[in-house]
Amino acid sequence: MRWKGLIPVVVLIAIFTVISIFFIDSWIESGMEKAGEAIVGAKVEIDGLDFQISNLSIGWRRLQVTDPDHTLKNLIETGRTAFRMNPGALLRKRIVIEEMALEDVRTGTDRATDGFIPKKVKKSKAKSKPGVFDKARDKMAAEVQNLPVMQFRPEAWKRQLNLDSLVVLSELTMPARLDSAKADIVSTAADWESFYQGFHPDDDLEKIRNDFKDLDPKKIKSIPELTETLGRVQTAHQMLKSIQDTVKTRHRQIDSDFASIVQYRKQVGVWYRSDYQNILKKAKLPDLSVENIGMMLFGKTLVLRIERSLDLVRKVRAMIPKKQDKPKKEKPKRMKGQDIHFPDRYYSPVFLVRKMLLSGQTGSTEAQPGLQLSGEALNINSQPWILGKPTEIRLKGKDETNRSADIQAVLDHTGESFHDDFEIVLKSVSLNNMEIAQTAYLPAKIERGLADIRLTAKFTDDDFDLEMDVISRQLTFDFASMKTDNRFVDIVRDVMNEMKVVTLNTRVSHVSGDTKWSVKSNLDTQVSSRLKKMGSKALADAQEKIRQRLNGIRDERLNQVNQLVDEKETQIVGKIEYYEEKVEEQRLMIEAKIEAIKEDIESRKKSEESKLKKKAKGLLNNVLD
Amino acid sequence: MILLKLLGKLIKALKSADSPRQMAWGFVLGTFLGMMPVNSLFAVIILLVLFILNVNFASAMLAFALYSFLAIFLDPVFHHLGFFFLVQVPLLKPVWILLYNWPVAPLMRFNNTVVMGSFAASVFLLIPHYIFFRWFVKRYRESWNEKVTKWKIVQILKGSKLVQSALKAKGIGG
Repeated sequence: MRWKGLIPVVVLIAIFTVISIFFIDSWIESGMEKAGEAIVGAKVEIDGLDFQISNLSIGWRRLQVTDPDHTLKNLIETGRTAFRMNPGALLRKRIVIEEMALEDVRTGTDRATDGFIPKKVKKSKAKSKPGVFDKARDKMAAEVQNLPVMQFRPEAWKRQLNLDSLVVLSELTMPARLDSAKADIVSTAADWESFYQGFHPDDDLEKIRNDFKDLDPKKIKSIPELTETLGRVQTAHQMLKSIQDTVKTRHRQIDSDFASIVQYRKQVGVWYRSDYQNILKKAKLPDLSVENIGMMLFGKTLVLRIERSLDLVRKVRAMIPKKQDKPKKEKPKRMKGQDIHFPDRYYSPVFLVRKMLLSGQTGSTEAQPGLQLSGEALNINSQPWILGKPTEIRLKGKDETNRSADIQAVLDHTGESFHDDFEIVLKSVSLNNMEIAQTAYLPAKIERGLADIRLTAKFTDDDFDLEMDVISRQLTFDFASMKTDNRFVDIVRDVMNEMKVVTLNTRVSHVSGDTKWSVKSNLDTQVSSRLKKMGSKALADAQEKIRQRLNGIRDERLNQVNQLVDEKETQIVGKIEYYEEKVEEQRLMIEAKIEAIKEDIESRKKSEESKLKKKAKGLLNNVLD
Repeated sequence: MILLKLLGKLIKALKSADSPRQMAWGFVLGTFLGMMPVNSLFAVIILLVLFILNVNFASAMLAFALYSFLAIFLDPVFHHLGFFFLVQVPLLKPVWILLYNWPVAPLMRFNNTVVMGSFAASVFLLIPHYIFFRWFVKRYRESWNEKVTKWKIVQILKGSKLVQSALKAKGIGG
């Protein structure tokens, strides 16, 4: 041992301690900022961070997290924050914060500088598969896209419709699909005709018929000859059975082929409706029977809002690692290795905030503070399956004008499967000057209004069920700013002016890969009935003309295809049925012959027996006498 | 310059009064230090041991330099070895769970595959390293010292101004 060797160690520790005292605050600040930026993808700034090594406490004056989509705004901004880390847990390399207070939390605040961070160019990788949320969003967007266009101009309908050019412009799919069905029929029929060319059971059937038609067992003299004939007849019977099996199998195949061909009969209605809607779009004629007004007016806005909500859930989920029973071998970065985690006897994850007290406001400026909210978040942690408790968030707020908010979330990632539940209830939310998605029927901004909103969402692994109810009052739009001669817009405006309350209910569910979306509104029936009342004869005539033209196209093509199917089916099925009949006829004849021969053999055997018995009896009597 | 200094230190150490045992232990501890990532409590403990124990510091530094370089290439091997010991040997699991829940032990980062793999490799190589380096020092002092001094490369190194000044500063050269 050389105790003198301790001197450089002590000196090193002293130097490190002194440097740490001066620089540790900026090191931690920069470390936390960089970690935050890596997660958010935009600038994260912490002001006035203070670390006290004596009691392991950290605090800061202000935290700003830039909104990566709008880098001149903050996603979150907090005021003074302070918390202490558990020293015992820190010695076990866990960061455990028993309680922290996050005060003056605000969203959407303006930034003094742009919080944009240039993204590192990643090496091109194969495009990742779209997730369930992407699929659901795409399906909803497609539904909105496919809604009929509501162009309601009676003067225009009165003008004569140029149906020929409309039919060309609309690129009808029904005739092409019917032609394709026709081609299928021709091709299938050709296949079967080619089969018949190589299939000749007539010769064999004729030969069997000729060989055994006149066979009379009575005319065969001896039993051995009869037995030999029976063998030949049985061989012929085997051959017939084999032909019959082939014929039956082919008959089944023909039936199945024609059953699949005639599927077009079921589909033709769908193709017709799609083409009809397409022509209406091109002709700019509305379908007066349309009822999904809520989706037409607010569909785009709903898709955007739901997409944002799903995106938020996706981001939260991406941050929580999934439980693994046995660690999977990874390919870590060089010199980094892979950390293997073992069961923790203290049920303590690597990072845990047991209780976070939250207070803040929904407004982004001092002038418009919005609603004051306060509440708590429990069990924010990096390994929920170790802690065994879900993360819970509860926020509430109410003001003197009866505005209130109640937000609750339970993120349960403690087991193999994820369960995330959210419930948000907002009362008397101001809709003044609120921007909505641009449509041809509504201004892009709500002028005035109040709304009660209730959103519930349940996520279980890849399945989810999200429902939102909006009850809006005193809703007004600046329709005067819309310059349009579309009467549909007038109808919507009139209905909205008359209705004191506009309700909107939307539900999106994704269960086992199937997305369902519905939008219901009290506007649906009101606008639709108003539309029907206003539907002029001109519109009805125009629609009738389109229908007649489309019916003509359909009937002509459909008759051709039906005729062809009937003709080919009769021809091909008729032939196989003919063979079936022939074979059956021969089979019955051969089986009758077999029976007759067998009977004859039996009767001859009996007669021979009785003759022998008589002879034996005579011989015995002679001997005895 | 660092390499030359290291060479100078090695030459000095090989001629020093330190016993082959001290030199071999120094080399072994330097191996641990070189192979394992420096950002763990393990490295600090080994450094502390190196300072306190009466072992040769120069041979430790030589091993540290040599194995720090080799570790860059051996990293994937350490990862596989570490994963094997931490995950694929059920007998060891209770030990890791115990350590994982002890205070301070997790700061050693033993649950990291590269730390564990490099530690295991250092332990496997402990005896061979010790025996080899002790034999090497003995052999050098007994019979190679004079031959090595006559090598042209050593002469050139000794002759160069840079080396001269470096060795002079260390009190080794002429």
